[in-house]
Amino acid sequence: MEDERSNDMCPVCKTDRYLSPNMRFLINPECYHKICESCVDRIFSLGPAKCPYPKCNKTLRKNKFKNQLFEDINIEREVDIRKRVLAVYNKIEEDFDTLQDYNAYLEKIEEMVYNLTNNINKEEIEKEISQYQTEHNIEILERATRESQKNEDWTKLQEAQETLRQAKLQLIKDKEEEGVAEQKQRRLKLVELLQNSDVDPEELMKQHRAETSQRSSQRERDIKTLSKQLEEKILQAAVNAQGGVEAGPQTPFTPFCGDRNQFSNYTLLGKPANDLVDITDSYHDPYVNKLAQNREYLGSGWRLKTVYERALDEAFMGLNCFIDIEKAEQSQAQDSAPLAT
Amino acid sequence: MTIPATTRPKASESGKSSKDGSLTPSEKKYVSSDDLYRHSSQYNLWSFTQAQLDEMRRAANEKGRKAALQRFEAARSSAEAENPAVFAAHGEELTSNMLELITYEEEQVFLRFICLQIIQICAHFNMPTQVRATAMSFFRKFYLVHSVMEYRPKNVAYTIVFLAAKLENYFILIESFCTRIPKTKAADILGLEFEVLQTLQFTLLVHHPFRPLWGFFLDFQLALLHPSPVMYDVSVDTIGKLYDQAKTWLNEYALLSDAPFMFTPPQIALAAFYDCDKRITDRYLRLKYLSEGPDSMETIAEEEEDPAVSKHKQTQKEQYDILVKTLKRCIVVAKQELPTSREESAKIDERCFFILSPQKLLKKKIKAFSA
Repeated sequence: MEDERSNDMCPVCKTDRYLSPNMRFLINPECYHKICESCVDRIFSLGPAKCPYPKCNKTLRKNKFKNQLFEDINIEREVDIRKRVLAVYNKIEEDFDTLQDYNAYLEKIEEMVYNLTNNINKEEIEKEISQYQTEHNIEILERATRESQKNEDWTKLQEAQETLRQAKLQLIKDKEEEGVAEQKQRRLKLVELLQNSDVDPEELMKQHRAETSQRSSQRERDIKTLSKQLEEKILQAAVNAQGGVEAGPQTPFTPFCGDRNQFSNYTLLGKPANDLVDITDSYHDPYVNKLAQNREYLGSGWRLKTVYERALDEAFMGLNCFIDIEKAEQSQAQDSAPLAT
Repeated sequence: MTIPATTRPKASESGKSSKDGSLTPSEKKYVSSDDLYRHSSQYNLWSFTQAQLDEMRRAANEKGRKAALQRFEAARSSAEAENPAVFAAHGEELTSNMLELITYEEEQVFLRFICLQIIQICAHFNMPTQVRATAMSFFRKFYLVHSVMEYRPKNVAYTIVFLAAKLENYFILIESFCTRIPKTKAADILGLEFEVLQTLQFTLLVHHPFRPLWGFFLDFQLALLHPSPVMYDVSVDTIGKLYDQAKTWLNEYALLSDAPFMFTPPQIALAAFYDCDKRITDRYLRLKYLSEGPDSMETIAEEEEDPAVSKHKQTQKEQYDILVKTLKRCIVVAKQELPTSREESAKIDERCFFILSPQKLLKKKIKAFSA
């Protein structure tokens, strides 16, 4: 209870959130003490001053005050420290020859952040960081600009796609409006015709209806072709931005140093059915075949074919592994190996 | 229906090559399904020959004896410090001789009894076959490495059933598990869990023969009934009945035996079929391996001229022979009975208790002497 109240009260001016609901708290990354906005204005407007908290002798500046993002002040602090460290140590994976080096680099960063947040060897690490920064200043700047360039490209792409999408929506809307206006006009015309001419009204109505449906389908077709063209444009923009990364043939992945044997030990009984990509006229198994009628099963991707295939695959997986022979040979090989060397 | 000519020799070749491991990826093009099994932890860590199994069990027993004696000596020296008078008078009677260590044979009988108990526990909780089979496999693996003189089988059995239920998606809350077992605390069951996992080397996937059995049930249908029945008295119902018999056979024999260590799941499944109905199973194997279909007369006439084909026929014959031999051996191994009795097992269990906590045995004896 006590805690909650103190959370809602500025410890400097004792203003309560109950009385002034618009109150905002700010913190300063020097000491992370919570001070309300009006106090910050009051105390620090005239230049740097000492933190009003008792026993905190840090000097704070107004421009360093910021909103608290995380409820836990320790996390807030760690995020700030991490941001600061990462601004200096900003290499990416491509800057390393091996994955191991990169991981070691990441590990080092984590260690620094941890030590800084927990005040272990703080001065040493600060010194190390500043030294690193002075030594690698140019590289760091280069990488930072490269990174911002990348981000810019991405935002540009996003913007381009967004404008294209907007244009598409606008076009569709225009078309529809046009259609509505035209229909209105034609209806007026029809009423006029019905009033003034001596042709059979039934015949006129029929003619009108046929025309309407024809026009609306024409309009739909127009919209479709238009949106298709625009979508292609959007895709094109995306491809251009990526700069053709997907060039070059890709070798298939073979997990066991070889492809799966394409000669199967069995043939699956049954012929493919059209609607559900499953098989029919297959094995006789009342229980499983009944499940295949269950829409809940089918809807979640359950297929008779895969069930049968799995069972048959497992039936022949290791059928010709003769453990007693192979393991005896293995242990013999192990026994004779030390003698040979 | 039969296996294509090119696969058989290749499969056996790759089998050998994966054994000596000298093959480079470029030489080897295809991985057979047998090779896939050779990559499994069940094959690499938990498959043994009969001799290896015996050796491991004897080693475990020996290890258990040593540990028991060590425990006893430690308890004895601390007891001697407490009651020097009793030890001065009866010192020579209070030696490790009073510790009735459990012999290898006794241990095997006792373990078999506990295995039967595990089946009862699983039945008590209404657990599916999968859980029972996994629990059984874990238990047998655990006592391949350790002896009953190191971990009390009763406690291990509960832990293993709980773990197996969890692994096979049949989760029971530990509280409700404990309330249904008398005189057991949650800590006892969970305390051993890591020990068990470590002994299993964290290989938690067990390939059971049940799915292969079903797979063969399906393939029997294809081989024997399609496009037209091969045997006049075999219909879908006959095969279905055979399948049910084979399933019972697996539960009754294979699960409790050393067969899962010595044979692969498909072999055990086929052995179950073979023992239940030799005639149908043999016909199936002949169809599959020896291309003895109803149309075999024409194919033989065609293929006779080609020496490569006749050679292939020979390797097929060899494959068939070795498979049938393996199946027969599997049946023998699965049906090895080890008679157990409740009284005998209860006695061994009591001895186990004193071996695991020698200080209680010493206290009992010292009390008897000082009275």
